[in-house]
Amino acid sequence: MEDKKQATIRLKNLAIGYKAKNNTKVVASGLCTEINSKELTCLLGANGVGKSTLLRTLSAFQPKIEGEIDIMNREIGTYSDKELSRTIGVVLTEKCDVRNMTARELIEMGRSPYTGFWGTLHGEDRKIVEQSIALVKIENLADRMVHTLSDGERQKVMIAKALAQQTPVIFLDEPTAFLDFPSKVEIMQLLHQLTRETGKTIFLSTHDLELALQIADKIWLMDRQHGITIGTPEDLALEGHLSGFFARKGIVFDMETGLFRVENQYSSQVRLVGHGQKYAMVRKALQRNGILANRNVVSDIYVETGDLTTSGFKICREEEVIAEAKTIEELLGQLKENS
Amino acid sequence: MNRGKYTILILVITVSIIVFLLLNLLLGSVSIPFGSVWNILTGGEDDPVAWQNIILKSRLPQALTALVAGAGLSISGLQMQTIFRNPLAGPSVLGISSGASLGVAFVVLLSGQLGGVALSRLGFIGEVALSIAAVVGALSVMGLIVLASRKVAGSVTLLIIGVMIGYIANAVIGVLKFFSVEEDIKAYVIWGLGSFARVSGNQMMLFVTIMAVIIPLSFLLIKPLNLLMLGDGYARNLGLNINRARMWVITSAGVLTAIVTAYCGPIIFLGLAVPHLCRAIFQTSDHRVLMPTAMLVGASLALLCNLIARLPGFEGALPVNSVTALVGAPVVASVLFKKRKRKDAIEF
Repeated sequence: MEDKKQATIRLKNLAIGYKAKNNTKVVASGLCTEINSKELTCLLGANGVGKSTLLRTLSAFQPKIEGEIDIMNREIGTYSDKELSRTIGVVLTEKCDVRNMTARELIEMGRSPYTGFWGTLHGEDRKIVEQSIALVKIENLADRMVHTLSDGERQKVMIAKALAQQTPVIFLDEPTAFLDFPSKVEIMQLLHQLTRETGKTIFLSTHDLELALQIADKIWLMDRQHGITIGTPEDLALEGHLSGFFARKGIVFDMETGLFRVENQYSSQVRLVGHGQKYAMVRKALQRNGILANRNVVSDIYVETGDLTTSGFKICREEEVIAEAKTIEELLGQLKENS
Repeated sequence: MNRGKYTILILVITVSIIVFLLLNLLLGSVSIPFGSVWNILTGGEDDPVAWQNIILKSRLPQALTALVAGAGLSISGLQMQTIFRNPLAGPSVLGISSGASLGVAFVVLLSGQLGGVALSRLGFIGEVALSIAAVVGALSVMGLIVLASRKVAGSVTLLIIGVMIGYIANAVIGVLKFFSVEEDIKAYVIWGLGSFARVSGNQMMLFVTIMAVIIPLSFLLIKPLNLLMLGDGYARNLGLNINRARMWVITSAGVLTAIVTAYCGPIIFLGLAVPHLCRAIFQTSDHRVLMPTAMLVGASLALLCNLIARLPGFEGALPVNSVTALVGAPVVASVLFKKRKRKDAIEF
């Protein structure tokens, strides 16, 4: 496998939207960019800015308004239905509501672009289906009926279906919606891993900002004013796009971690001494309670958090321990008494 | 479920068809011994002419009609349920059988008014006229639906258009009935009850031949039907031309319904229930299994219903539609109910 990433999808001056008989609604225009293989690209944006429209246009489900979409160096319009089905695999938001069908049978449907008139699978097809199942690690689900699976499990089955389709490009429309948190992480990590293991180009839309910022290789920010802004999560952070993009009252972009956090209003401050996990936890708890806490602030009393080798927490004034607490909950109570 | 189990089940269903077919020939208001039935079927001419007539001109055509009609309606129902992703869909859902009824209503109810002759008295010519009217009515409604299927995007919209066409047809029939003489209305009502016995001699040959061509053709749609189950988006992504596939499925299901309705009247229930029965028995959604089994189960069930309608005592008095519903509905309901209970236990 080649090690270099390549631009599999090129957009040239693309405009997307809806064409009706006598009025055309343009959702976004002037898009010039690329999507690379071996990369996980995440599309972020508020509801209604046109994430789904973009995905639908890129998968040739709806016509573009103007410009070019080149996939594997060919304009999308020159692909036949069959060629497209071997180039782009999709995972959609529409729930695949089939009864009496096993997960394996559903994944086998991914082979349809390659099977003959009756859809009969041959040895090679079965091998590819088993490989797809193994890549997504759902061997234990393969013989379950699809309608008995949880949303997260079903999503993995759909991803396996897209893998069985053996397309260089996979589009996913909000694959993490409706999943519980561990499943969200699992799906995102799985997709990231797949870009590395299979070299596929994976492009998805999501509302899970935190996860996307941590796992995606590239982020596309989509909004009405600026159109689409593209970069690695880190570049976008440094250039101030992220903080601008999601700026709302109560949300701040933490430059240190490159992630968003809830903004707190502080009424007092206290100095913290210590380091590591316990330091971070105490700081988080105090800030939630309206106390600005870190190494650099000045205060009469200070808290010694210790580290994982010591037990409990100490409240001190001028080198003298005035109170001790076993848990952060106790610490919070004692701080209130002593201030 | 493995291949061996499939084979056994299919074998059982096939045997049931043969048994019901023989019983259909054997049982009736006139009792004819098995030996004579066999003799007549194999071309022997020693038996009384009356018996020969009963077997060759009444029981055999009726049984074959039931067999073919049951198979056709079940396939049609399966196709409709799949493309509309609706368990309540059946052959009649797109207004196609209403179209047939409208055609028949025009001929039956207007002939008395315009020609001054009640069609019900015309015999064979009347019979042919009815078949033609039904086919014309059904196919014109189907043509409308196919036209609509090219314009509208969603299956649900199409379903609603079909149901609306059905209402319009029924309204027109109502108006026609209002202005008709009692005798004609009765003839129309009897047609509406459905019967496998209406098709005689030459017509039966034509009917069976047409169906023997169309049923295998409908099998060509197995792969598109499997893909359509996944929903339009996924099917399209897997290379299926949705509009074209939908048009062919509607055409196939529509023609099957139109032809059967033309010859047997609107037969209810079979087309709706048999696909459910097959899914429950074979526990699959794969049309490679469902299409052939729906055909077999449909044929078997239709033969059974015809048999019951003709049981000694009823003397052919029971209309087929009453039997299909009265006998079939509880059977299907109980099968589905058992299945549902077992599944829920696993699911929760």
